[in-house]
Amino acid sequence: MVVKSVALCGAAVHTRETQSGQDYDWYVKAGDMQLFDKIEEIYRIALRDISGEVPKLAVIIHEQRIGFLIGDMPSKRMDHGKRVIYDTLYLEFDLLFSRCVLHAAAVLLLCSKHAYQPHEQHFTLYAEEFFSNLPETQLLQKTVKLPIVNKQPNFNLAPIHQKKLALFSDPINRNRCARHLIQFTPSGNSGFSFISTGRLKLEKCQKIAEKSQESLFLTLSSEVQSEINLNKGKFYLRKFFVKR
Amino acid sequence: MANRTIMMMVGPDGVGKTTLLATMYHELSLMNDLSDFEFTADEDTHLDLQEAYQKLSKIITQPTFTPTGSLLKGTAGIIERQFEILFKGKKELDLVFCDIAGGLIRAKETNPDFEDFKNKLEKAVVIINVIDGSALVEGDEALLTEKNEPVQIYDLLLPKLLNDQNHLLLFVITKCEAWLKNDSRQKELETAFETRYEIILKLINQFENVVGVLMPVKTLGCVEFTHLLEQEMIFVRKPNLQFKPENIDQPLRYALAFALLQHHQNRSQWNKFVRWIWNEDVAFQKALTEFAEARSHTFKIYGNPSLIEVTK
Repeated sequence: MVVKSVALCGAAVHTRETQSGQDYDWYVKAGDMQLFDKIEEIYRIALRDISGEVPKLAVIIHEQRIGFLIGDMPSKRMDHGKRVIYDTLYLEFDLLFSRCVLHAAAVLLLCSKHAYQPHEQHFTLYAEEFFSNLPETQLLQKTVKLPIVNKQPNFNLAPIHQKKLALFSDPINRNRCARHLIQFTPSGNSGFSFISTGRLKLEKCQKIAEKSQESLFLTLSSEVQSEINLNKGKFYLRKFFVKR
Repeated sequence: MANRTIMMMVGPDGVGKTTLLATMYHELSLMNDLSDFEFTADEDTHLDLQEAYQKLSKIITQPTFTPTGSLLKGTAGIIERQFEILFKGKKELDLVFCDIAGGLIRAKETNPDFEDFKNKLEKAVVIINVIDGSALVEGDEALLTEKNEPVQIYDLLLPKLLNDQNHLLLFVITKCEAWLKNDSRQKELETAFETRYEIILKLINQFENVVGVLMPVKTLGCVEFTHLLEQEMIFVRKPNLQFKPENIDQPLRYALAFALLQHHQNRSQWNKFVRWIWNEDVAFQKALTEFAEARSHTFKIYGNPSLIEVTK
């Protein structure tokens, strides 16, 4: 795994304690996180408790910050009911590092299930380290190691032009999204969000898309056969006709 | 547009709410005695529950006599599982089963899910309180509180039962395979429930709009409680028992029959008139009676039993 150290502004970990009554929550919030409220909402709507075995990721860009979330990572800890505890890690960076972050998300999308595991373990270790050193978390680690693209996406596949789009999460569409992320150039204040998740309903994709100028979703929902334009007018028009 | 009926599953984390829902759905999907009714899950719900059921059925590959843990991942928020009931191919009701993170039953107002949980609970017609049977019988007060939280459940139910809506409360006891072997063991389970849930049973008896049903079920069938070890319930995979859920369709049968009955009774005057003209009511009532007859009548009932009676 080829990695690059990137300077961090802030980080958060969503997990649970082992004892009964200490449920899933954001146990660690450290550093200067300007996009935390946004990512917290996206996590609640689009990533938490969503089934389907695909990478659970989110990237958001707003003003001069970029946030990266990787979720559903099995830790070595078990809760009181002998269930594996899953970690979700959120990292926030200055927009200067957008290229590194977008490339890291692309790497995870291009991975096979087998190749995804070492990356997942890398981020889980990081999350667990944060969590287990709670009192010292204020002394946030200054950098985090992000994977570097070592496999190119397939540039023969159709590029993504729509501003708001939900795609079915298959290898082809994951490849298209990886290419889009690699080539994406953040512009000024415009908001961007990318979410890769399991069976997320279109209604919820739409809810998130409304809050961003550009939104891209990978979902396993049966409502999405291939791709659906989430542009408000087109989305509701489609909904109207589908119901009839 | 069809009506939307909410069913809420409550109980602390780890009692088996998601396990119950996945096994209930699987069992009911195998049955063909639903009269003219059809119970279908939204495609994503179907895939989610099927995936969960497959994980549960992996218990058969676990070595026997070894302690077992949970087979499913814990829930972190509120998951809406969507279903619909069709009558003669036409949609009658949209059903939403809310599966919650157990911790929500004692969540504070600052919890971002608290408001959503309260709203859904307020609208719920059927409440399924999932109870850990082994902690119910064997646990001391501390363990009972930790695993089942009856007082917290009482606090949630009290304001809810004050509204005029009719309610069905299903007390579904899981992890009780060891007590379902004979009548005396089953009686022991029932007595433990009535003693330790006395506060809730008294509450139910105060209201005309509530009926409660006690339902011990086998969700796995092959895993049994063996002993308590430092306040930890130890379950093992038994060699002579198969992965064979039992009575697991019953909570769903009771819940669906109640939802249909309430839906039928609350139709608008105009709708009733139109249905009377077309003689639709007779067919519906007949099908509902047939459907309700497939419920087991061996369960203990508390509160107002007329609320679950379906007459021809």
